[in-house]
This record gives sequence, structure tokens and C-alpha cells, in this order.
Amino acid sequence: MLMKSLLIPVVITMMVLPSCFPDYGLDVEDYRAVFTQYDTAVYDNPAAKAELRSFYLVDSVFHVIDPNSKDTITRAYDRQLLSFVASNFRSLNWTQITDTAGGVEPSTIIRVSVSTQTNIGYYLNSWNTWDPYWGGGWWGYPGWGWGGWYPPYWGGSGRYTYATGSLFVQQDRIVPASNPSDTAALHPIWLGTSNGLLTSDQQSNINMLSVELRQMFTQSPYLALPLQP
Amino acid sequence: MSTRRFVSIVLAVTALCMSPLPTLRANNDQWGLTLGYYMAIPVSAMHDFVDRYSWQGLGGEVTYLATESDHIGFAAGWQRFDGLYRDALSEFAGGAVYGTQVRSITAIPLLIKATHTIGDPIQKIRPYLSLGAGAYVVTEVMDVGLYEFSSTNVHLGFMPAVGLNFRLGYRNNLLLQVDYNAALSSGTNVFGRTDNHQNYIGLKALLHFGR
Repeated sequence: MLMKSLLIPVVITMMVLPSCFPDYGLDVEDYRAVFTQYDTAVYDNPAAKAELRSFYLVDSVFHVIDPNSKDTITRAYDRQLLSFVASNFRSLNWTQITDTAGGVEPSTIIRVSVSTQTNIGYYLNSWNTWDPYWGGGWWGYPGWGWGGWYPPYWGGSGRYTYATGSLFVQQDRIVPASNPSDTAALHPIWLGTSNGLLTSDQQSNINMLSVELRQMFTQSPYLALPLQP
Repeated sequence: MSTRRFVSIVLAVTALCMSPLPTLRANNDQWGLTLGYYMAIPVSAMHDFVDRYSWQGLGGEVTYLATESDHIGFAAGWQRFDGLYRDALSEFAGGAVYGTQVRSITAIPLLIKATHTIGDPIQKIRPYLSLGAGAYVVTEVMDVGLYEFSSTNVHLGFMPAVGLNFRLGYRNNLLLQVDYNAALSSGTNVFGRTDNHQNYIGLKALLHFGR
């Protein structure tokens, strides 16, 4: 008897338990992440790495946007971003080449890009409001002349939007063309990406970006070059 | 197939198995059904990924009484481990990812089990030993920022167990069990690990309907 009375609660528990997931209470900072990737054939190869000494930083930040959309990304912090990237590479014993017209060829080229995206989601909220609509002022079956019955509308749905932003720092190795009349090829050897939710506070967004830029270099110790004699 | 869908199917099959239970009891004394609540502690490499105690687990077993002391059966289960890790850095070949990570591992054991109960069947409390072998379907998920990385693999594995059988009646028992679940490496590189074996200690409370 006891076992029979335990059976149904056990089964109900088994059906409910898999749907229980903890709510970690994440906030905006928790939705940001920093990714770095590198070419192991270059940075894990001492001989290949020894050929890398200098970089040229493209002096503007690319905005990656839909060609049919208006560019609403601010340029107020471009100088700050570029300066931060350059100073980090220099601190890792890279030499910055600022003038390629002087005949000094850099071994790598670095480009900084940003993009933003607005995401739209919809939700149905069938628990918070219950608003049955009986229709026609009468209740009854259609065809009986009572005006019909309409299924109740439980109400509550919504739309939400959130914006995400990404910052890309890409380093390409310049591979000289075998034929002097051809252009050199670019071979990507390092990519740092930060991505996350954007807030309406621009300064807050830039502060987070600065932290993430620093993290890109922190988790890329292989970028460090030996001190030149 | 998603984990939730698989678990729903397992539960539905279990419920279907239970519906003819009274008939089975009347017609065939050898068959039994075990349902239980599972907790678990990750160990070894599993602990390196998620180091939290798991309170989300359940499962069941269809058993056949081979002798008065021996059962064989088919056991299926579901166990979930998860944890939040802030400022976590995960490195893999050729890169790394940093951020707040929500990590989870879901293990679904599908085992053929043999159980030997020690002592006289009329005793109220008897110890038992069992050994299960079969497959573990393991899904590892890492949520970082706005991205989710997931890998599902099938591992060969085994599960030795010890427990106590409390007789509640002629055909009903309460089982308290400790077991060691060892899912061997499937050979897949998961989040930078070439050896993706999963090990955890299970703590189970089960109700057995049958002899």
C-alpha cells in the first residue's frame, strides 16, 4: 500500500526534475567573452617566429556593417583603441613601422574592426495574465444562434531587443610575392575577438572593451618576442 | 536528439513499462522495476570541468530475477552536473577563451546490470553487489558570453556498485546504493582535451517493485 502511494509522487518527481535548472543571475558583464586564436605553425615554431619583428597598424578602425544599413558606430574612441593595441604590441618587443614609404617593410600588418548587431526576440507570457475572451456576448455552440464561443486568450506576449558588439584585432603576416610585379599576400597569424552585450552607456561599453583588449594580450603570451640585441 | 527529448522518451518508456505492472505481477513473478533518485560527485577529469555536487539525477531499471539472490536487468539513467565559473580561462590548441562560463555535463548511462544480493531472502536488510556495463551518452556544454560550445559523445563504460536492500514487503524493496561510474574516453577532442573520460561517484535511493 505504501509503495503504491509512493509510485505516483516518484513518477511526477522524475518528470519534473529534468526541467529544473539553476538561475545564476547573470548580468551584462557575464555575457562578455574574449577569444584568441593563433597560427601554431608560426607562433609555436621558433624559426618562423624569429622572422617576425615588426608591425604596421592600419590607422583607422573598420566598421563591419550591413551595406544596406546606416553606420551608427561612434568613432569617438578610435584613437584610444588603436593606441592601446599599438602600445601592447610594442610592450611585447615588437617594432612599430609607421611609415612604409621609407623602404622599411614590416613583417606583419594589424587591423582593428568593430561591429554591432541588434537582436530581436519574442516571448509568450501565458502565466502572468489570464484574460478570457468569450466573444459575441453570448456563450454557446456556433450554429445554435447564440453568437458563438471563442477560445480564451490568455494574453501576455512581448518583444525585446538587445544589442551586441564585437571587436576584432587581426594580425596578418606579410608574405612577399615571388614576382616583384605581384602584390604581397597576407596570412592571418593571430586574431583577438571580444564580444558581448552593449549597454546604453557608451563610456561603460568602452571601459569593458579596454578590459577585454588587455585580456586578449594577457591570454596570448606567445606574442612576446625576445628582446633584440 | 537533444538531451531533454531523450530523457522524455526514457520517462515515457518507463511509464509505459509501469502500466502493465499489476498484470506482470500476477502473471510473472520474475520481473521487477526499479525507480530512483540519484546524486553524484564528479571525480578525476570530470571534476576539472565541473567541480560541483550533482543533485539532479534519476533513473530506473527493468530487472529479471534469475535466482533468489541474483537479478539481471537493463538500467537507464540521467545525471546532470553544472556550475558557474567567473573569469575562467580555457585554453585549447591554437587559442583560448575567457569569460564567465556556465559549464554542464549530462551523462545518460545505458547499462546491462547484474546484481547479487547477499544473505537469506527473508532478511529485512541485505547487502548487495552489482556490476553494470554498457554505454554512457555524455554531453558537455560550455556557455561563454553569448556563445555555446557543445559536444556529445558515446562512451563505453562500467559501473560497479554496492548497496543495502531493505525489504519493505514481499515484493517491494528500498535500495541505498553507492556506485562508481567510469565512462572511458571516446577518443574525441573536447574543449582541448584528447582524453575525455568521465568518472563520477553515484549516490542513489531506489524503490524496487518486484522480488
